[in-house]
Amino acid sequence: MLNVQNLTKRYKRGDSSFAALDDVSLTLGGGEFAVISGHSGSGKSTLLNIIAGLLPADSGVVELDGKVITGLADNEISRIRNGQIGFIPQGHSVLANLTVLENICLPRWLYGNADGGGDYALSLLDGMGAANLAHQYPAQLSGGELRRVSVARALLGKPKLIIADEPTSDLDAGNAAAVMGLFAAAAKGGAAVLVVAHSEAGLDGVDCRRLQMSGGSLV
Amino acid sequence: MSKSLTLNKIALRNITRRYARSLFLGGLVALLAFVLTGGSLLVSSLRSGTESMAARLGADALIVPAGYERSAEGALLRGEPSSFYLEPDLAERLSQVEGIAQVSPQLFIASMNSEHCDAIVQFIGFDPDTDFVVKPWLSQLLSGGLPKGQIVIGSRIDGKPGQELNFFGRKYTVAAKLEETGMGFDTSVFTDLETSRIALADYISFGGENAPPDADGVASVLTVNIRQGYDSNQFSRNVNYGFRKEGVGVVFPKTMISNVSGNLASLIGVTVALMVLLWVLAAGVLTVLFSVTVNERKREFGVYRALGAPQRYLSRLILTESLAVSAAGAVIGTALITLVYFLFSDLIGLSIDAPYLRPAGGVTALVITGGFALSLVIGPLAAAYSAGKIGRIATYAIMREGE
Repeated sequence: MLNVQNLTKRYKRGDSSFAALDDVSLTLGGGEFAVISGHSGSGKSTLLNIIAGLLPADSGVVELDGKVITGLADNEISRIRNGQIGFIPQGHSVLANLTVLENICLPRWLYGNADGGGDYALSLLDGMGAANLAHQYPAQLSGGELRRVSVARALLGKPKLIIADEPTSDLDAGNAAAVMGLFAAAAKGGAAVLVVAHSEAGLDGVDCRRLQMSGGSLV
Repeated sequence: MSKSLTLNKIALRNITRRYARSLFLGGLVALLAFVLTGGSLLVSSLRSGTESMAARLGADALIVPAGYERSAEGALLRGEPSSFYLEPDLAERLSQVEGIAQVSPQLFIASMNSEHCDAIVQFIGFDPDTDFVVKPWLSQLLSGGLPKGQIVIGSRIDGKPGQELNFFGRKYTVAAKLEETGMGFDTSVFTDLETSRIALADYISFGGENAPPDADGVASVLTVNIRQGYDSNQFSRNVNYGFRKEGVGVVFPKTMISNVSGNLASLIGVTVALMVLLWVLAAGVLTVLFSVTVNERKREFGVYRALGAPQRYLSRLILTESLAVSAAGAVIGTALITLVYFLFSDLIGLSIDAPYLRPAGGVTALVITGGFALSLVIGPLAAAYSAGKIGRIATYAIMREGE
């Protein structure tokens, strides 16, 4: 499903440069749930952003479902991100001017798909015990509820790959467990799930592959 | 179920949900549209007034009693009623001055502010046999000429054809009403010389100010066309030296028009320069405002990127929002100034000490459309810089939190 080969990314800092990613390779099959942990600055987010096509790599290759997606034009990689990758960025990523249901359906509308998958979106919310929030605006939601909306939005297109950057960072233990449970369920449904987590919060009893990053490398 | 949100609907939602910011930006564009369109309407009205004046002051020179040169200008340009007279034999002798190709007398009488007159106007009598100034444009209204004893009234005088108006205690039938000219003719009454002398006799009988002892043979102005090739300065000297004892002055309408045009050119130049400056300033302010706004919203745009929106989508979203805000502001500002212009055009004309005439409908529509268009494009133009770099900013914003 996901095949990452020899990714390298260097950043400049003043006159010198440092490796945010240093020859990172990783494979993730469909139905597999992997959690990468590591200290701040270890390169976790850089790895996710390159896989999602938001950031170019200096070298290396990312393959999704057998297709090389590194080096594609913005339009091409954006469409792949929209259709095949469910990306949950760090922090709150629910748009304040749209209702919960509109937020969840938005990825489909971005490419002119008039059917926003509203029924499926409602069933996802229902499965998360949040169906009553469908027509609320984000300002009325708690942190845990907002995060669930982000997850529901990532799941809407039934993507092949789900990427989440610190999805439990500001949640209490109960909400963190609920969110990780959603990812585990998505993996059981056949998606490859790659999550970056700063801590072990919510992972108790979750069947996943644990990876560690340090100094830009997977160890 | 939620209805599909197109890019336009999302832009509209973003505008309405952030109404304070949208109101401020739209208000700025509305103000710009108001000033730009208003300034353009003013400039075109002044130009139209000057052109109208040039078309109607068809004499090379006016001979008036000494000291009344300004009164003649005031009567013609601004409709300031005044009465002044050349003695009958003087008018006759003046018509013999060397250099004259055509000459025709006109009689000016200021109406009275009393029950003897229905309106405060400048009564102007012209000689139908010799006139070459009034008849050419009057004939467009009255193909058969002006019947004796009847009057033609200016556009700002209450009355209509067939109605009788009272001047100096006598009823005069209105034969026609002039279109607006933007000059003193709008508050003038035209009649033939013979009828105007009857009016003058009435004026004298009521003890009118500055009245001559007798109405017979009296004229206020001699309109003159100078012989082709004859030096106008020499003509002026002929009049001034030949009649220095009697005291007469020469007014050159072309000089009058060119003075007015010169003053207006300066005024128009300053107005246009101010409008250009305002547009550039507004464009600068809006560019900064859009830049600050987009910077504040970079996280929001970053979310769109994370969901798969290409950079082009974000640029279109910003440009659509700016166009919608600009359009709303431009519509409000243009509509408001159009309303003010049409409601208060007469008042504006009266308060400006210059020929002022609302231009033809097509020109007015063109000016309003131009003001609207210049205001409409300013939003997208000002947002273009932010729209161009939003993809990079948004991507950086969405990644930044994770680094």
